[in-house]
Amino acid sequence: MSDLEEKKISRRRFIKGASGAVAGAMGVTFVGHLFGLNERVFAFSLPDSEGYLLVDDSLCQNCKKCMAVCSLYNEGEVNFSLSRIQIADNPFYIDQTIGQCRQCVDAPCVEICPTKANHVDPKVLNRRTIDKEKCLGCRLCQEACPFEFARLQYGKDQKMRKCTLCDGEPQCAKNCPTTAIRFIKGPAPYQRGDSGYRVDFRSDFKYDWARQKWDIPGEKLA
Amino acid sequence: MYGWAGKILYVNLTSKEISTIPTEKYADQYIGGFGIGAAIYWDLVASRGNPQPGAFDPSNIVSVMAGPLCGAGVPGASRGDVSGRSPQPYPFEMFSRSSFGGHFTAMLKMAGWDGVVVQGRSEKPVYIYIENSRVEIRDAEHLWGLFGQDAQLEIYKETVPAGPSWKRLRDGTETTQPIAILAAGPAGENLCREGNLIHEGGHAAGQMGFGAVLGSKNCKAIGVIGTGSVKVADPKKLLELVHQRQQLWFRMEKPNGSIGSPYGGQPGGKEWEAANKVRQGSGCHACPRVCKGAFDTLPGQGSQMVCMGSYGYAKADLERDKRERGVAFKDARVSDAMYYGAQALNRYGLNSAYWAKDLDYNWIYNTFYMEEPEEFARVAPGLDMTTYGTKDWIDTFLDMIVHRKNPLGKALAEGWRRGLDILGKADVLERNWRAALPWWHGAPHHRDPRAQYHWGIQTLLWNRDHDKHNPESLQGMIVSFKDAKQKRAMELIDQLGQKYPSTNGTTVSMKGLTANDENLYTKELTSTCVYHRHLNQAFLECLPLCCTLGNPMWFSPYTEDQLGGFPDLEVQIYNAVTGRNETFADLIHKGRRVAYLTRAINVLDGVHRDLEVFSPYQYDTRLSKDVKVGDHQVMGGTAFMMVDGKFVRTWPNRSIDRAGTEQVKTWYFEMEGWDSETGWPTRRSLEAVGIGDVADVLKQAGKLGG
Repeated sequence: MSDLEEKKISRRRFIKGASGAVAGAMGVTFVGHLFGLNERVFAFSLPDSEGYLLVDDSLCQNCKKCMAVCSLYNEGEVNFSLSRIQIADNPFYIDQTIGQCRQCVDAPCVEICPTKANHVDPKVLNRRTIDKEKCLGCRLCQEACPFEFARLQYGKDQKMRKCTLCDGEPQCAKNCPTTAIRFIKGPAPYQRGDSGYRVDFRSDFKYDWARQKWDIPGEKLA
Repeated sequence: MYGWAGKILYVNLTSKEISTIPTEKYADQYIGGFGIGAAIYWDLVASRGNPQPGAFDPSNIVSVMAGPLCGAGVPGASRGDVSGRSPQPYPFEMFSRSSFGGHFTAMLKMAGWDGVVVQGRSEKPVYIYIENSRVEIRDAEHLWGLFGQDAQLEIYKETVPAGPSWKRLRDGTETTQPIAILAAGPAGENLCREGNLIHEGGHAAGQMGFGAVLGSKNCKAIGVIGTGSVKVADPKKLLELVHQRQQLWFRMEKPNGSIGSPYGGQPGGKEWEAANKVRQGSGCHACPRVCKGAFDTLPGQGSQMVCMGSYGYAKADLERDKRERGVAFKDARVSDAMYYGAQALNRYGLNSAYWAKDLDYNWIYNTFYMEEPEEFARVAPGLDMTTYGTKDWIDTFLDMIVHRKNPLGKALAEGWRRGLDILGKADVLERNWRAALPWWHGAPHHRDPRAQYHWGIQTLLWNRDHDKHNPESLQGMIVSFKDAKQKRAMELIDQLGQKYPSTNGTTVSMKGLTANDENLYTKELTSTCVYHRHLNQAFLECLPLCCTLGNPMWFSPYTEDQLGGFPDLEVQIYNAVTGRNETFADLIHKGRRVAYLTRAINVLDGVHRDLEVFSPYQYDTRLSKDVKVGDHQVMGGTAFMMVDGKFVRTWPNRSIDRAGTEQVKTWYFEMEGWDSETGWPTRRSLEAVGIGDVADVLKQAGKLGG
């Protein structure tokens, strides 16, 4: 698929939108509810998240500060197992993967939650997040997460955790010393595959060989 | 107990006893890290008085300690501190320490432990495996003989595999993280006195031979995986402070975060990376500095390297290029053999600090082999010097040392200083101005005392290479300011010195930081050295804050008032983590306590003022920038001096004065309240830091200062 096409609306979203319109016209939603179906089947009812975490794995230096500050903010203590962002690595292959929650447009974890504990929160950027009070700890959401390793965490209290976007100012992006994680507000990144979320931030930087310094636009040095 | 897990693991490999030591017994008095390591060593080993056990005696301990800030997400504050009686110092073994970065201490805390103390000796090779509260002594017969890195990969396989997936531990908790392992290499197993401990590909507790001490206990490794929490007293405040601290030195716009450039002082950039097979930076827990580059030199081996590792074999690599292409030395170019050489040291498990100076491969090749080929052939039969500088050569050479395959290997396995004696070459320390063992105890050259006299004195009166870039980093910060800003920084230092003295009255001053010839042998300079001993103990070795990150950060290039927040910000961070309400004076006093306790232990080991001298070449030959050997100058050969009213870093042309140094030693001991005749602590000085009981043991041993 060309870059131009990638920037266009994804096929699935297009179909979803179109079929939604058709379904609405046919009153299927109503019928669906009659038969015990809900928005899990007709996912178009989820409003898009207004914020996303984009990452550049090649900038990541594996310091895991994001994990420390994430759990500090969300749990009040440093706990790698409960961090909403996971840097999974084998230090001998230097191939760390930044595992951030993608705040999916069609969030399977939200869709599958039987108690709606995993929900869209309109108060904070339409984030997909978990209401601990309602969580049963069934872990269906963790199983539904389609990524290399699930972006949801299971705690000793038998409740699930999930990215909260730190109430609008994600600590991982704020504290990442290499800007390998950045928070953007705006339209959803391209959803299929990794290209929308794993991006090249390095091209922003130029190394000035003559001065032996990084040429960083706007940098103010003493 | 915020900031701490609350317990330290004690493992006796003779009796297979596994027990715990409560952290609170030590944390209040000794802060953490090396402080607790020293206090535990005192209780378990040194307090029994003389004779002290040998480094390889089963009753010696190796302790790996975390500090209160480890694992709390504080930048550059997660080094692990290894201590015990070290086999490396010359002419006798001494209690000493080493430290390493990476993720070990953070993982240890999350597993619910603040440290590990290993004593005794197992009959068979074992490794210690910690999975949260579960501790096992596992068989390591199949790991014995492996490189430290390979042993770690094997341990991954038989415990928790590393890689991007959720792994369930036996207690039902889950993690995506790899096990943190600290392993001895072949050098440690074979009791080479410079055998290191390695974590991941290249985080080494390199100095002081603790790999050999662990090897002497038949213990290959300590591995830990944890899924618990590091609890902090005030998480909101801590988040604020941590962000503030990072912003004072590390602006987010910088790629790979590093000061100047990524990869341990290398130029960096995509082009450079491609040429040098760099993958990316590889940092320690929560640290923005990324002083290590991760190279593709040895795929699957981590290949994390810092400048000191790659520097040594670079010269050999240049010699190889010179030979192969027939060019002049100055036109020779390095290849990836230099990185391979650095990683080879990490794989065999040897202390790279001894191999990055002039008394290293360069001396073996250019002096020993070139000048005495027959003698060289006798001591190193079969070592093909025509392949010097290649990857094969370094493997053959290190294998020869680690397995003591010939007289040269046997000599160097005993460490460089003892090795010179065995080879009958110790006279190099009398005549060669570039010899690289400046101190009596055989610590490796790092900064030349003739230039950086502070570094010289701090190491001279300690048990190892002082190895704290402090006050060097402070001097460097002042140099980095120009004109009016520099003038203001110099005024600020005197003000800060007045505001934050140590509890024995010593402090930092601009005069004390200036290393002009006429300023070397002064009370101000001595006071600065004493002060930094206390400061470094408290902040850099106990909290601990990594000096490679630039700690302590007195200044910042990004603030209006030029101040970097030290020490108030660090004290606030300590309080936010631990829930204590301490001041700078409280912490530096504890640092002073650790320094006195260590001095007392070293006095039991045999330290006496008369022994504490520089190697003869430091007094008798001049440091010069003009004479070059192998086209590179002496590492750390520049001094911070006032020239034409400006504070600059420049090459001095001088030697050290014997009488002046003796005077500095006398002042140093007087400022500490120690006996100036012997350098031994007095009862009064020990009582002043609240460890009067130590005086009883010294008295019994006949070594209490009068």
